[in-house]
Amino acid sequence: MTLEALHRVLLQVAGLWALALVAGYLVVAIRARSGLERVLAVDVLGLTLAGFFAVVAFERKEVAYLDGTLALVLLSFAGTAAAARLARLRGRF
Amino acid sequence: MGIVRLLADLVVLVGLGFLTLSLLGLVRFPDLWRKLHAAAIVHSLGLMLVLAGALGTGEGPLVGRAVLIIALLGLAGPLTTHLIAHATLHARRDREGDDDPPGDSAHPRRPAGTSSPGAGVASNPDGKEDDG
Repeated sequence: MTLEALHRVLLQVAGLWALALVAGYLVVAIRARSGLERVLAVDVLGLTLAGFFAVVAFERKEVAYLDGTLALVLLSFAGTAAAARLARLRGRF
Repeated sequence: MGIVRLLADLVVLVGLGFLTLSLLGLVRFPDLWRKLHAAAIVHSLGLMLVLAGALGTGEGPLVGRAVLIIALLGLAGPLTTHLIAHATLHARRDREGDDDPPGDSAHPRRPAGTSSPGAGVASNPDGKEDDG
């Protein structure tokens, strides 16, 4: 097996692994026991999805996926900040 | 160049390992304070390692964007953790009364004379709203 083929296989394994992690974080978000715990789980779910897109970008050498990653990280941060602020102002979420 | 690529792939896989550890922490840890550590510290490290795999591609635009995202993660990660911890602290005070979070006994949040349980729960005990 050449190095190039090994490189592709490793990145494809990484992509599948990242997708499995996204599924795991989704389960954690669904099964969260409190609202803020769910906010936290959704935050890391979004960031893990960003990591999956990054792996896809490396595998395909496509810059557009990393632009999506950047947008996802920004949206995840804004959403978490808004949800945490709302929870703080209302005393619960 | 091939070896560098493989090393970058290994860095990506190590980062995914850290993300898996973070998932394990979110599942296994009993309360939100400990889950915050797993979600914030370990997850940020794992995601930064995954993005560091861009160095293996050797393409300028990919590396530049990856560095930008890593910098953004370094800024946004502690901020979100702080916001969630702050909201949890306020929600807990509103729900249960006036007690300090675990591990905060070295930094009491108010003078000793005003520490009766339930006193000043509804209002802000500091007397000011730092909400901005």
